[in-house]
Amino acid sequence: MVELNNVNFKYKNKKPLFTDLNLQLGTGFIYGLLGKNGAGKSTLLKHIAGLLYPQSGQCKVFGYTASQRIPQMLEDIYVIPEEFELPSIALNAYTKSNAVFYAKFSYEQFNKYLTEFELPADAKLSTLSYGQKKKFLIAFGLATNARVLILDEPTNGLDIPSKSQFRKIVASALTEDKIIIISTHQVRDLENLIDFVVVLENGKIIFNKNIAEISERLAFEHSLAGVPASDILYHEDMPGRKAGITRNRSGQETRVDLELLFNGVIKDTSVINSHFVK
Amino acid sequence: MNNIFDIGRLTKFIQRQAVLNAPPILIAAGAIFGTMLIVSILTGYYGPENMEGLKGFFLFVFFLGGFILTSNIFAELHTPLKSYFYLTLPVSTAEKLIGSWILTSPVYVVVFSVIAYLIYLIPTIMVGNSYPVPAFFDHDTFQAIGSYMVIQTVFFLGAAYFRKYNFLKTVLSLFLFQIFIGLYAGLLFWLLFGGGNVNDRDFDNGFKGSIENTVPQLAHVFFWYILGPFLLVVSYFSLKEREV
Repeated sequence: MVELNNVNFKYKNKKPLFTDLNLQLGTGFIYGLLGKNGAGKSTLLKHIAGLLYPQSGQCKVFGYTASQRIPQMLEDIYVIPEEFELPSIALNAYTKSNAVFYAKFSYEQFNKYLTEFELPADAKLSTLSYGQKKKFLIAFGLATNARVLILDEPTNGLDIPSKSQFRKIVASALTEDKIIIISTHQVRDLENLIDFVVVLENGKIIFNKNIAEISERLAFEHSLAGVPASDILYHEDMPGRKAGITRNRSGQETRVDLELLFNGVIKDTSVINSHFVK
Repeated sequence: MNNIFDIGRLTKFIQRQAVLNAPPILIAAGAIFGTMLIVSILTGYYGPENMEGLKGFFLFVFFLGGFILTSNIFAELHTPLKSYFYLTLPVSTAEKLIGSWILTSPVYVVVFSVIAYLIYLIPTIMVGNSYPVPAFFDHDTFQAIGSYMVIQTVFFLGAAYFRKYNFLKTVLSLFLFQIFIGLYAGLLFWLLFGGGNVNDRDFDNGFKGSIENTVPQLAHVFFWYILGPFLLVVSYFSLKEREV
């Protein structure tokens, strides 16, 4: 479990980013962390990985204080950053010299992922494209079997087939003891993948709901024609129509449009959240 | 599993650092040892009487190369696009510190000494008995190696503390520190003796004796036994507090 309790944090010479931030992430789920630029998504992920220290409050990962960065905790965290640089050595050499630190690393899984991503196992890292390097890191990260996998904009740089491969691989890698956190602006890449939607705005968690609960309570309409105004929670103008979020009167689960949901939550947080109050 | 220090994890870390840093280090080593080889052959051929100077050149390269290598040992940590991997690597701060020190101090000393010795053999054979050739490993060499291992910890701290231009910033810091010490000593002297002319008669024998005996002893103990470990401890805390 990942727990942030009353975390306060500010960058040097900047206004406070997190003020008494609280967040709990349970095992067995994939979390989609959404937010505008500068909302604090990457900073939050860095706190979880122990890469930034809170000025006060606590960030714990499976009971360990993240900022202590002790090896036992780090074996259970793997971070795939948005931007990275890999050394100019062979893919095999990199894997061999880094995999030894992860007791649960599986070469069988790793080779399977490489095959699925169509990556040559004997390639030199410097000869791979950015997207291929990212796929390599995703394969490596999943093969570590770390219980917390943090992916910051994982689909940036991936081609269209690779994005669906990514969704398939990540979904198959999730087990009951794992937490996968995906931060992205490409919300469409997370559809049918995430279990929870967490929205961060100005350093605050303004929305944190299960996809099943969202689809049970909200309906995402491509066109709002004929929908009573009292049922519309959020709408946005599209060419020739209005799309929006409405109350789900049918009681049946509907497909969640993450882009609409995100826009709705950002624009009218209280209206969307009030719909979840039991 | 011990979360502070584990010899198996330390070994793996040393191997990892050696593998990941191998390409640039091998290129630099090739260039340096190649130059040493050429200089050695030229010395053996054109200036066999200058073998002592050749040894001095080797020691200069040994110090400079070691300090530059040390200054770059935490390059992965200081490169924003690489630091994620370094900081989240399941290795304790103590192991990262000790592993990096082992690579830049004992391993560097042994590898450099062996290769330099082999290179030194070439002009030694060329000169034969025609000129006296100083022994490669003598008291002065071991003294120099010992000095390197102490002074290297200054550059080690600079490598851990500074984020960019580690070598140059460390050299500049040493320079500024020397100026500060010089000014401080000068000020102290001026405060004690009022800036007037001072000669031996101004010191009584006891004071002079104690200064002459105590200061070198203290300096000896400080340099050989305290400075190195102290700077390594400071480096540890610098690494421990490091965020991205």
